[in-house]
Amino acid sequence: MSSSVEAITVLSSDGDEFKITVSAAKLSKPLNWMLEDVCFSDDCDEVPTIEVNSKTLVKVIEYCEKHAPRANSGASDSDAEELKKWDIEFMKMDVKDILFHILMAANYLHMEGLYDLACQTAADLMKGMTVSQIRKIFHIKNDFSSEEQEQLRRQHPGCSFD
Amino acid sequence: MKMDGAAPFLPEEIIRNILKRLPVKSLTRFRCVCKDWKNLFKSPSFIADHLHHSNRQNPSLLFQPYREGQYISQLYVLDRGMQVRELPSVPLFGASRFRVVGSSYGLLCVEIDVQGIYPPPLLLFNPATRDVIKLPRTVDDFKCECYLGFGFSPIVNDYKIVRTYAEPKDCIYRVEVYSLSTGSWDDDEYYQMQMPGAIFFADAITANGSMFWIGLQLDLDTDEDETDLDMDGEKTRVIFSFDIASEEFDCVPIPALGNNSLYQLMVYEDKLAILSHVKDAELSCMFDLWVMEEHMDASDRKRRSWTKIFSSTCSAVGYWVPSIFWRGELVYNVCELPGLVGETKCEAENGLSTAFMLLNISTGEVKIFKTRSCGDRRARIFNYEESLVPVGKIPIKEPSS
Repeated sequence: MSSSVEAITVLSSDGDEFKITVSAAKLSKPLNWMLEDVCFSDDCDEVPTIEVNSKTLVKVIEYCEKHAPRANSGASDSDAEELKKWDIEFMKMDVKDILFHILMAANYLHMEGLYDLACQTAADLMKGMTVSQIRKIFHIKNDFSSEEQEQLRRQHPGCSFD
Repeated sequence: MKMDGAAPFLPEEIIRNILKRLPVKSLTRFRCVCKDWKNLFKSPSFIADHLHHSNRQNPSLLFQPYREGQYISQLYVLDRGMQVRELPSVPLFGASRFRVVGSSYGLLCVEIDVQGIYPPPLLLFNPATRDVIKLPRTVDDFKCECYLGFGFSPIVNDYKIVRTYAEPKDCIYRVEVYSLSTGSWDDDEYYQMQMPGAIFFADAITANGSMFWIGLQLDLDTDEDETDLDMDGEKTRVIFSFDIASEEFDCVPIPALGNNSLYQLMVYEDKLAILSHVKDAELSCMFDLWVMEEHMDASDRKRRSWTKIFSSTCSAVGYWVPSIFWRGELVYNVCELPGLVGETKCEAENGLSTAFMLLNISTGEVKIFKTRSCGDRRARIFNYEESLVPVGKIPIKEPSS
């Protein structure tokens, strides 16, 4: 493989193959390092594995490919506006059920833009949730004793543990 | 969120990053999730993260209406979505009314009107958490002129209040500084020594970790006759500054403004700014916006310089006096002027018509935002962003008078 390649192949944690363009991979430092390894190593047959499942990786790559032109060249304000709208739609679609996986992937791949976007999306969704719904999605147990709950209710009338 | 058991466990760092983006209202609800979260929301580091995040967002516009000769005892905010909502009422500790002195990083400094007590007692109030503290009193029943300053400095992570004392139209002879972190007033001659011959005219404006007052600098060495000043004499006007972190007063000269121009101190992009405006005959207004840049010189002294960053003429705003910059636009409180507010014609409500006018000074574009609540133009208007910052738990008792 030479340095003139335009796309590389990576494996998801489920073992599926994905192609990602070189310019899109630049959005992530770890991906970029992987890419350099692939491009400049003599052993070209090895396909690097990314510890992200297939369902999530599809979305991460989609995000990278969309954002790559702007990240690499800089773009006008109208492009930035367009991209913002795209981000909102991107987070609206079928992403919700894998939002936490996207968060983990963005964190692991050092993708600041996607990480911020996913954190904000999670926060916006949480605003409308009850305390027990929050516990469920974050795998948290209610560790207040009944006395402590009573005390909190006295201090803050109207607070709910459900 | 359609999340079943398949949702992964998120590391604490990611959870914190999500939580810091939540409004105080949600965080207050979610302290019942578990003990860790309850404690997290009280930890100084999380409060600082949340504040920092909140501060980078667009602030809301907080206002206290003024009607029929007095401040209305109710606060409102105009939020990012241009919705007006009431804020929780300020605990008055038996007083009849209050006036907001300043708003900084989620806290308000409020003066309460208790009959017979001067200077008015002060409160620090967090409208988002409803946390309030009444500041200890240092002086009771004192006939003098007091001017205040209130602000936060990220350098020392502390909120401070400055109160100056002077006989009417005379020099300041006493200065007190309150620090939220110590919870006490520091009354030190040191402050006063830093600015002999200073006269203030109004409460301070706070920008970039310093408070600023417009005032006069008297030359104390000259004879009394000569110091009999023309209070409006432009030449002797200066800006006094107080660095919240270093607690040093300083004097900042006012740039050479055009003749006949009115000017006022403002905050523009967290820098001290002077907006000078000259009306012409057709209700249009010529603006100059000066911004003060601060930097440290080689000997680590603060250097300040003024740059005129903007000049323009905007039509149809000349009648009014702007209040503050909010999200880069000038806010005017327009009122009692039925028919003058462009084509929108404020409805006369109780004989009052009120609206905010937002002026984009670079494009000249004007937006009118009608609201019943803003009262007349003496309304107190501030930028406000909500925070979890505590002001203390036990309110200090009223002094027995």
